[in-house]
Amino acid sequence: MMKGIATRALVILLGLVFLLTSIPAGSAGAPVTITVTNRKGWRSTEGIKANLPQFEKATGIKVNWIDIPPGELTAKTLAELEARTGAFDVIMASVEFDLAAYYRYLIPLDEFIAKKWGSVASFKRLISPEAARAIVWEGKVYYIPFHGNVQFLIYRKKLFEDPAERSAFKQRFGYDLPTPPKTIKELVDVAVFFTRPEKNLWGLGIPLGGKYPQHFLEHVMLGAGIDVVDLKTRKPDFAEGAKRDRAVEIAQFLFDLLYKYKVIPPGAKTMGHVEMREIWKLGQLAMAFSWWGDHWDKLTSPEFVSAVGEVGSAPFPQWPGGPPGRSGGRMSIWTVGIVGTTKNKDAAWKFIEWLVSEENLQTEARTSGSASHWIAVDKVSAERGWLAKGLVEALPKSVPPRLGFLKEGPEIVTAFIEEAQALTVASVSPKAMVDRLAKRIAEILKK
Amino acid sequence: MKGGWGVPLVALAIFLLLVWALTPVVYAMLISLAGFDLPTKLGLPNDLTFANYLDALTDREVYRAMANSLIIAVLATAISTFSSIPASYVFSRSQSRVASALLLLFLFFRLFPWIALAFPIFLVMARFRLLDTYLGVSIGHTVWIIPTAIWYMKGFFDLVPKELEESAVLDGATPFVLLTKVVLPLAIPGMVAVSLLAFFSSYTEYLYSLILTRVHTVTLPVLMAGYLSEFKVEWRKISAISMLSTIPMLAFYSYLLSYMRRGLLYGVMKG
Amino acid sequence: MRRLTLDQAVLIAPALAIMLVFFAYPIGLTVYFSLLDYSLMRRTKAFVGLANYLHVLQSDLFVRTATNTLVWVVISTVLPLLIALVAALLTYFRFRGYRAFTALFSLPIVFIPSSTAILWALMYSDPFGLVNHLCEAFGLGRRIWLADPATALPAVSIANAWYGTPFAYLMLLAGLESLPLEPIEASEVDGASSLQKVRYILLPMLWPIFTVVFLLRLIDTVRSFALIWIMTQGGPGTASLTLPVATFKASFLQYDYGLGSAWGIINVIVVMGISFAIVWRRREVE
Repeated sequence: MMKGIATRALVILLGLVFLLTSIPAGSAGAPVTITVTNRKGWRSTEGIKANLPQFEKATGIKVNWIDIPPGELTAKTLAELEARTGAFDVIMASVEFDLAAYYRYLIPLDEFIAKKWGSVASFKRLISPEAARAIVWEGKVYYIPFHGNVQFLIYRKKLFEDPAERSAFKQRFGYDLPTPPKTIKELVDVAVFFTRPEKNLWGLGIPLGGKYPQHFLEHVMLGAGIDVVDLKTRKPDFAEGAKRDRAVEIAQFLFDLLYKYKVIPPGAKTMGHVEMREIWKLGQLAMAFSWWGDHWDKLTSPEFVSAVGEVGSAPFPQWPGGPPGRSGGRMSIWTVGIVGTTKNKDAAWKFIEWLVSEENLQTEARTSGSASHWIAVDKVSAERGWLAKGLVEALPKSVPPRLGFLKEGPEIVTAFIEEAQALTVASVSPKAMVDRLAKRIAEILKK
Repeated sequence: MKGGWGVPLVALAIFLLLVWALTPVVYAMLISLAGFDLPTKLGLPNDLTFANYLDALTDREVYRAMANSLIIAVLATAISTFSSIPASYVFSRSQSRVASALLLLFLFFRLFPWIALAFPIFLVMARFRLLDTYLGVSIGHTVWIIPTAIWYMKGFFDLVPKELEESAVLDGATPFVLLTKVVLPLAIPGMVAVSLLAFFSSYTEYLYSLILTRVHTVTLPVLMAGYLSEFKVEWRKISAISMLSTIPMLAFYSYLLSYMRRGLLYGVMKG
Repeated sequence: MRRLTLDQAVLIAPALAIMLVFFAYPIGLTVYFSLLDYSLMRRTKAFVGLANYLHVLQSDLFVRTATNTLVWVVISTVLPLLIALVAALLTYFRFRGYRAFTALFSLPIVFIPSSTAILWALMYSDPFGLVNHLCEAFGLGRRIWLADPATALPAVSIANAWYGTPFAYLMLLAGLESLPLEPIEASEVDGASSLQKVRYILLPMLWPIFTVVFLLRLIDTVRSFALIWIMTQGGPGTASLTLPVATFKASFLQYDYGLGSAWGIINVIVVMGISFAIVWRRREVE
């Protein structure tokens, strides 16, 4: 009798196991399903995601849109590609170093491009030169860009236009309150002027949690003409000479903003840009520097304007002595590519065509405020006021992070982030930080 | 505790111990109930509301993750209990060298640092097409539960007197019949303890869930950890989710306390 | 029966099979990968012998990580064990309301590690965190606890100590309750005070159990990953980088599985060292 119970228990267990494993991982049933990765909670693709049903209805292709937290996206994508699981058909990749890492798992898109836009050359003329350069690997195009962004400065117009503030500024610094500041010196003066901790007002908000101090430093360095790595000699660009001294000055600049001028809210050391936006909304910031392209629609929304007034925007001032025609760096380029293991190449391409359709790219600009690297679309978006002036001005004068073109990129970025964090929390001096970083990068490149 | 100072000292000690254990819980609970303004200095939130809980409960992502966590935990419990009970019975009864060597091997498994297998386990699961499936994730958890379960369960079996079995063997019973008919009924408290242990080990697991899930099987720990790393910290809502995540644990809290006390000790001392 | 019978082998088989396929096999892969220059970025997969191990052991990062791990382990083992010992001894004497105390004091076990991370990240945050509110109220000034290299590691360790206290408490309490009553009864006849009972009878008798609980806790903290990863990701800089976090970082942030596997095996060696201490200790106890 007991044996009977055991058998029954076993049968129930097996049944349960069968039942649960038979729940499909993806949704089946539709004739063609493609799986697309997306950065979870990314405001730039939210509008496009909302348009998906139209695409599905028009083509009969079912899109399995997967949201992966930004911090896990590259690790997960790479692991899946390396294990050749075939879990993803279309992947999103950024210039940071995804492009260098993924392309060998992807299929070249040259034929599709030629069919759609006549030739690869004519396609490249449609997008920004930097994007056209970043998407080519070993002579073939592996990626189609859909998102462009750069960090820029925002400022509270209400404060800057206040006559009392203007005259107080002139009295103290001897020149008119620059709206917005055009040089680093003006920026520091203005930030110092508006910093009033007792009133919970800070001159300059820069998110410095996690990877963000590195974003700031690399932006200013590229603007000053210092690449992290010289792509030709494969050496750190700031190991010695004038560039090293300039890099130390830049590191010193961030250090001084935090510890000498004290214009950055101390809590910024654990913040990302979403939290910085909340501080902005509380009226605690006169200026702020970050990836505001992702937040422009919010910053200009009635809710925000009624709380803190109109927002102004401008490129972050270029470091003195940097190459002419450049403002800063760390331009963001996000692209999509098709995974080699896909069984539905054509459906995947149809999705990409739809993703970069004018309507979708305009949706992206309208619903978040980010550009697309598609020249015609970005022009329209700028005219219609969907893009911030700061973004429109800074983007063509920016360059993407150089690490994106190196296979050692992730290791160098990890080292850079660690050193930049150490600088932010003052556990290393600016000079020591720059030298240590140069040494670490040289070691990584030697391996 | 006689004398003038004894009683107040003990009372003070008890008070301090409770402050240590409960302060973060109470504070997070307050934040989870906070309305528009979060406190920026010592004090209570201005207004209290259940809106954050409503917000968390109506979020599809959250209740899916809760359901996933529970399904995976049940599955992991089933697999680990049903596979470890027969094995631990043999380990308890057999005198053979092979068995004691295997038992030591399981001890080795039990003390192994999980992190060392993070990428290989992903590859193996990919090969069996078990990534992002309930079965795959629960097997991932099971791997960590089985060794512990075997050691605990062996401790319980050691306490079951052997005389009964010996008479049953004389009647010609096989080990399987012995286990199901004679021994298991006596070891039921042990089984309950081990099942609970398995359930909660799986329910709280983070690393393997992170690695073996994509979207469909994302568990509560992975989802919650994601909130902090996304730089989208909405303290009210994630505090509310933290509070909600304790419900399965609280439901079995008294069992948990008593069985854990016994179970943990058997695992430690008798193994 | 000195030999394993077929029936017995069949009973062991399911557990063993799962462990071999999903545990022993991956261990083999880890060892294998640790001997390769296996980087998804450099696109290499060549055999390099022990180069990865040498690279790890010779790096400044290893020294840093080892020191951090030591701090992390000391704070998150000693603190909860001492607190738990006091609580367990008090409970052992059954003061009024001791049941309620046990229930309340053990409450942290109902939180999963991710919740614990959230609870404590909230406590330490600025401007909303209670720790800063308290510091300010006592005139100590605010700090950014998790972004300050001096405080990040201790802060996370204290969170871990908080989470580990109830487990240690329940185990020690069970240990105390399993002790024979005769010596205590005899001491009562001699008129010993509670403190004397604790000092001369309970603690010596509890000592073997205490050391085992201590060693188990030690292993659990050496290999624990979730709390640090979720709260600081090893940062700022490398200020809270411990062995498991460094392992994860090498594999999943630098995509260097060769290096990550070498870190992993070094982890294993450390943990196994402690494990042998446990096995040895257990023999002694018995």
